[in-house]
Amino acid sequence: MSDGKKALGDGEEAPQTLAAPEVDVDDEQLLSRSKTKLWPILVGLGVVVAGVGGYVAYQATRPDPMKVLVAIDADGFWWQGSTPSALVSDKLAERLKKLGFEAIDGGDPAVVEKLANVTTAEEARQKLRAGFVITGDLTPKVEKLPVDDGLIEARVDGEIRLAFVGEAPKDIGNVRTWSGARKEDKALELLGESLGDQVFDRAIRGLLGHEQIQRLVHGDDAIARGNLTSAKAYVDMRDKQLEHAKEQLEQLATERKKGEAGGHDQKYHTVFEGEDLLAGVSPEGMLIKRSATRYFFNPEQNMLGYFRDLHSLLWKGFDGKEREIAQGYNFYSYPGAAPSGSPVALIEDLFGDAKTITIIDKQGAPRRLRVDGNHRYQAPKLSPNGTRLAVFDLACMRCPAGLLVLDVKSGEELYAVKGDAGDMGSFAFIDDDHLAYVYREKAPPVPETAPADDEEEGEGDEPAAPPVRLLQVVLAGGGKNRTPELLYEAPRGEVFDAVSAGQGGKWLALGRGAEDGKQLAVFDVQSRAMTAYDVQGGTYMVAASPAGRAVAFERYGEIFHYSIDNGALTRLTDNQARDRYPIFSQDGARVFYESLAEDPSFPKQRVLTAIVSVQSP
Amino acid sequence: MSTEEAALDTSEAKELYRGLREARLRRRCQWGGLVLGLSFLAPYEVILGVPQFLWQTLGELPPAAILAAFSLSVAGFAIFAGSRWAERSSSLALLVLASLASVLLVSAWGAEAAAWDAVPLPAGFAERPGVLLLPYALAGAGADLAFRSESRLAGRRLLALSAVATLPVYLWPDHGVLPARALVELLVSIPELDSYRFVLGYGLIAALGLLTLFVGLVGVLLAVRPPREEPKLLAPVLTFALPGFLCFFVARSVLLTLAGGSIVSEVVGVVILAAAVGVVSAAIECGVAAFLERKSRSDALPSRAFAGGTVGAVILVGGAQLALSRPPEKGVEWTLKASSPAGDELFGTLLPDWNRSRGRWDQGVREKSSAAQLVEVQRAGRVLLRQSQSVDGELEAPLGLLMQEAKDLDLAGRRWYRLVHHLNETSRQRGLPYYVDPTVLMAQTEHGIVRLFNLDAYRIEHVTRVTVDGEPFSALRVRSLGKKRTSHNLLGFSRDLQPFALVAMDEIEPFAKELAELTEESPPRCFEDAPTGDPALDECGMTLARLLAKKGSFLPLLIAMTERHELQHQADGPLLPIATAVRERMHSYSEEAQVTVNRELSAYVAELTSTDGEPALGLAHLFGFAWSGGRSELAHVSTVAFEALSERSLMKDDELDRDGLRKAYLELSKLGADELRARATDAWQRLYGRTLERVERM
Repeated sequence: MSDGKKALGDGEEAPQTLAAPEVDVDDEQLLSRSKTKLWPILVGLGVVVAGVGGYVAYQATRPDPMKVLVAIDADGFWWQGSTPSALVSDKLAERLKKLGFEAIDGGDPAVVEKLANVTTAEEARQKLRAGFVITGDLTPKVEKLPVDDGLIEARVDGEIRLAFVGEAPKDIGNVRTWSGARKEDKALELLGESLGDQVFDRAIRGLLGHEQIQRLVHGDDAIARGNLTSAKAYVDMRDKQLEHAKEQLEQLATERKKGEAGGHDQKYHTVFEGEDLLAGVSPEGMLIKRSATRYFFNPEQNMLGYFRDLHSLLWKGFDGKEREIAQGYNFYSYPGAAPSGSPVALIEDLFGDAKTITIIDKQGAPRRLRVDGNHRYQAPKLSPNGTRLAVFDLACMRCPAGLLVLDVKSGEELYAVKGDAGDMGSFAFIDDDHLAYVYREKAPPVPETAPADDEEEGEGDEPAAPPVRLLQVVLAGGGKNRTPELLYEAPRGEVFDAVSAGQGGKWLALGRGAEDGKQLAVFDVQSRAMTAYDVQGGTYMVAASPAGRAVAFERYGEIFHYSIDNGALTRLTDNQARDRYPIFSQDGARVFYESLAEDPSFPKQRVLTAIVSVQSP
Repeated sequence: MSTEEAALDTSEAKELYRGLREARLRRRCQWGGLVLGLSFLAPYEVILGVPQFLWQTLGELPPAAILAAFSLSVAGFAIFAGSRWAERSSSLALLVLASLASVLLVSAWGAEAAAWDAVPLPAGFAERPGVLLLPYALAGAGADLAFRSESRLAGRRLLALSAVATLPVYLWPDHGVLPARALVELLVSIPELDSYRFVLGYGLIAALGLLTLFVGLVGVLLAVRPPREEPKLLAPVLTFALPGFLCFFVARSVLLTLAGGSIVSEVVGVVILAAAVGVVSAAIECGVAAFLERKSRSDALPSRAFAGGTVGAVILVGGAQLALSRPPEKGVEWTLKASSPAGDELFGTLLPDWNRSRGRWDQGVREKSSAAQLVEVQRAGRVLLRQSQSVDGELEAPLGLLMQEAKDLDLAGRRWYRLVHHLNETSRQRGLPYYVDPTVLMAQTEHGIVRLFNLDAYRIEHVTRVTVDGEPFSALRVRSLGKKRTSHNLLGFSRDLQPFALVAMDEIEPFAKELAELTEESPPRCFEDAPTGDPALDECGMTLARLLAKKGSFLPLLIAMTERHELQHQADGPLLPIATAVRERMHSYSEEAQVTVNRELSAYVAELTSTDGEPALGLAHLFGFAWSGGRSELAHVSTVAFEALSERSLMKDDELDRDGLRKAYLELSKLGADELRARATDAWQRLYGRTLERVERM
C-alpha cells in the first residue's frame, strides 16, 4: 500500500456500479496471492493429469505377463529368416495358446513390421510388449557329409532361457537334437521340427514355475486363473509322469542288485537309462557305444515319450569319468579299439545313405577310411598296435558277409574275401601281421543229372559240405593277392563261431559245436594244435583273456568263466535278466559285460542296457 | 371458384403453401441428404451373412469406379449442405436434381470403367434405380401442386408425366426380358401355384411389380380429377409407396431369418431409397412451383451464379468421370530377345514357387503362427531376386516391389494386377520373352474377404501386331512355363485390362494333332465322340480331311483363327451390347452367362472371317459344340452362331433341332471359303447391328 488507498481484500465486495471502481491494486500482492491460491490447484491438477496419463500410458504399454515371445536364435531369429527358429516359434505359439498363453504369432505381418530392424530378443520383447521371452542360442552346426549326392547333417545343443520384463534370462533346460537331409534347407527344417517339442517342454515348465505366473495361478484374478488351468494341469501331469518314470528306473537298479544270486560282487559302471553297449576294454577304461534316450512328456498325446539322442562313443574310465570321442546319427554294429585304447574304429551310418569306416586317433580326430553307399561294414577289429583293421564286409544290406582288411594309416586294402564265396565266420588278430578267421567255402554246385531210381533212398549220397577251416592270412608286405594259410581243418560235424585271441595271440579261443558236446576249443598258435574242452554246456560269444589261459562266455543269458589250465568253470552271474558279451580287462582281472533290462515305463518296447563287471575267479 | 378456393387463393395462402413446400424440401434435404451422405457406411451386399462394405473393395476399383461408388454420398452431403445454405428453394431444388442426375451419370460411366478393369463395380453402385423412382417422385410432386389453382395445370402435367414415366419401367427390356411380359407371366402363374406360401410370396412380388403401374394410374386419375384439398396423406403415400411397400419384404426377412445379417442391409437400403425419392419429389415440386412464380417473384428462380455454378460442377464432375472412364490402351510393341534357361527358371519355376509360398503363408497366418511359412516366402524371394540378376538387372525393381507389397495380406486384387503388369511391362521394355498372367480369386471366409493370388508364367514366342479399324492391337503367342495351369484348357485367352490377347501354343499344338488324328480315321471325324453314319457329321469329317490334305497341318490355321478370336475379344471389350438373339435365347440365364455367351459368340463368328485361317475349320469346331445340344455356354454360342449364319431357327420346343442343324451345316459347308467369310461377316453385323471390325496385319 504505497499511497494508503484501500485495496480489494478478502471479505470485501466489489462496488455494484457499471463504472470501474477506482481501486488501487497492488499487482505484485495480487499476483502473489493468486499464486498462493492457484498453485495447489495447478499442482493437484497436474498430479491428476500426470496420474491419469501415466496410468493410460502404463496400460497402453505395460507388458502382458501372459504374452510370450519365442525368440530362439538359430543362426538368426525367425524374423531374420531362420527356419529352425521359425519352426520352434510356430510350434510353441500353437501349444502355448492351447494352454491359455497369448503367444505371439510369428508370421503376422504386423509383428514382422515391428521387428523389421530388431536385432535382439529383448528389443523384440519390448516392441511387442510381451511379458516373457523365451530365448536360446541354438545355432546349428552344419556339416556336409561325404556322400556322392550330398548330405547335410545339422546338430544343435544349447540352453533355453526364460526372461520376464526387467529380469536377466534364466536357464530352463538344455535341448539337443540333430537332423540330416540332402539339402541344407531341409536339414534345418527337420532340425526345427525336432527342436520344437524339446523347447516347448522346457518353456512350459519354466513359465509355470515363474513367480509371475505362479502369482496369477494362485491370485485373485479368476480370469487369469481360468486361462492358466490347462497349463497347470498339463505341467502337473508332465511332472508326475516324469517323476514316476524316474522312480521306476531307480527301483529297477535296486531290484537288479538284489536279484543277483551268483554271489559275485558286481559293479555297475553305468546305470539303466539308455542303451550302453560294451565295445572294448583297455587301460583307458570301457569303450561304450551309447544310445542315450531321455524321457519327455509328449504334448501332442499327453503321455510319456522319449527322445533318442545321437549315438555317442565314449571311454568310461575305471574312475567313472567319461570322455566322449565321437557323436553321430547312428553307429553301426559295435566299434572296436586297439588293446591300448587307441586308435578306435567305428562304422558310421550317414543317415542311411552310406556307411563309413572311421578311425579316431588318440587325439580324438576322426578320419574316414571308407565311405560307401552300398556296402555294409560290421564289427571292426584293430590289430594289437592299431595299424590294421579288419571288418565284416557285406556288399549290400542282405548280402552274405565277407572280410575286408585295411591298412589303418593309408586305407590300403590288404586283404579281402568276398561274401558270396563262402560262409565267413568270426575273425581275430593273432598279431599285427596275422589275422585268423573261420571260413567255410561255398559248396560246389550239384550237377544236374537224371534222377536215379533209388533217389529217395540216396540221402546219404548228398555231396559233403566243404569243411570249416581256421585260416590265417599274413598281412605283412605289399599287395593284396595274399593266399591264406590253413591253420586247422575241422572234421565233418565240427563247427566254430566266435574267435578270440588270448595272451597276445598265443592261442585262440573258439566257440565250438560238435557231436562230442565239447563246446569250447582252444587253438595253440605255436603248435597249431586244436583242443576241445567240455565246459558242461553251450558257449556263446567266447572271449579270451589277454592275460591268462581263461575264457569267458555267455550261456543262456548268464556269464561264465572257464580256466583252461585247471578246467574250473565258474558261473559269474545268476539273475533273471540277460547278461551278454563278456570281455576281459587287459590284466584279465575282471570280466565286463552288458546287462539288459526292460524299461518299466515302456515294457516290451524298449530295452535298457548297463555295463557291469565282475571279478575273475 | 368457390368461396373456399377463393380463400385459398389469397396471397397469404400462396405464401403459406410456398412456405410449406420450401420447408418440406429443406426438411427432406436435411434428413435425406444426411442419409444419402452416410450411405457409404451401409453394407452394399451380404455374403454368407457377412456384410460387405464399400471401403473393403476400394483397392479393387479403378478411380472412376471409386468416384461412382462414392457419388451418392457426395451428392447427399451436397444436398444436406444446400439445405442449410441455399437461400432460395429453387436453388436447392436445382442442386438436388443436378446432384442426383450426376450420380446416375457418374455411376454408369464408373461401372463401364470397372468393367474394363479387374473387378466390376458392385451392382448396387452400378445400377442406380433412377428410372424406377421417377414415377413416384413425379406423382408425389404433382399431387402436392395440383390442388392449388395457380399450380394445378403444372401439377396435372406432372401427374400425367408420372404415368408416362412408368412406361420405361415396364417396356424397357431388362436382361433381355420385357418387364411387362414377365409380370404378366407371373400373374398368370399365381393361380396355378399349389402352395399357399408360394401364392403369398409370388403375390407380394407381383404386387411390387404392379405398384409402379398403380401409382401411374393414380397419377392419371388425379390428372383428370385433381384434388381440391391439400392431399396431406396422398402425396407422401404416392412418393414413398415403393420404400413403404418394400417394408413388407423387410418384415418377411425378419420373420424368416430372425433378424439375420442381411436385415440391416435391407433396412438401410429402404431408408436410402426413401431419402432419394423424397428429396427428388420435393425438388421437382419446388422447382416447378418456382418456375411458375418466376414472373411474380424476382427471387423465384435460382440466381444465375448459383445455376451456373451448379451446372459447371456437374460438367466438371461428368468431364472428370469421362476422362477417368476411358478404356485401357490396346496394342503393344514387344521386340523379343531369345529366351534363356535362366529366364525360364526365373519365370517358370522360381516366381510361381515364391507365389505358392506366399499363398501358403497367407492361408496359414490367418489361423495360426506362420513364422516358418513367412521365412519360406522370404527365402523364395531371395532366390528369385538373385536369379533375376542373372536374367536382367532391371527385373529386380518390379520383383522387389511385388514381394514388398505382397507382404500385405489384404493386398487388393487390382493392386496385384498392377504389380504383375509392372513386371510384364519391364520384361517388355527389356525385350524379355516372358509374360506372367495374374489372376485373383476372391472368397468370403470366416476370416473376411480372402483373395487367392495366382501367377502363371509363359514364354512368348511371337508377337502379332494388327490394326482393328485402324487402331493398334496385339496378340502374343505364348507357351506355358513350369507346372501346367489347372482348369485352363484354352487355346487362347484375353483380358480386358491387358493390352494384348494371348494364344496358348502348348494348347493349340496338341489340339491340332488330335484333330489331324480324327480326320485320319475311317471315316474321318471332325470332333471327338462324333458318331459315324450321319451325313452331316460325315461331311464334316470329310471336309476336315480334305482341308488337312490341302494344307498339310491344322496348326497354322488354328493359330490364325485363335488370334482372330482373341483379338475380337480385345476389340469388343466388356461393353459389347448383348445381341438380341442371345437375349432371347438366354433370358432365363444370369446376366453374367448372357455376357459370356454374347462375347464368345462375337469372337467365334469373327474368327470365321480370318483370312489366314480357314472358315471351314471354324465351322466344324462350332458344329461339334452345337451337336452336343447341351446347356453349356459353348453349346449356346454355337447354336446361335449357326442360326445367324444359316438364318434359320435351330430350336424346337426349347430343344435343339438336329435336322435343322444338319441342314444348316450341309448348306454352309458347301460354300467356298470366301463365301463363308462373307456369310460370317454378315451374320456378325446382323447380330450386333454394326459393321464387323476390319483386322489388318501391321
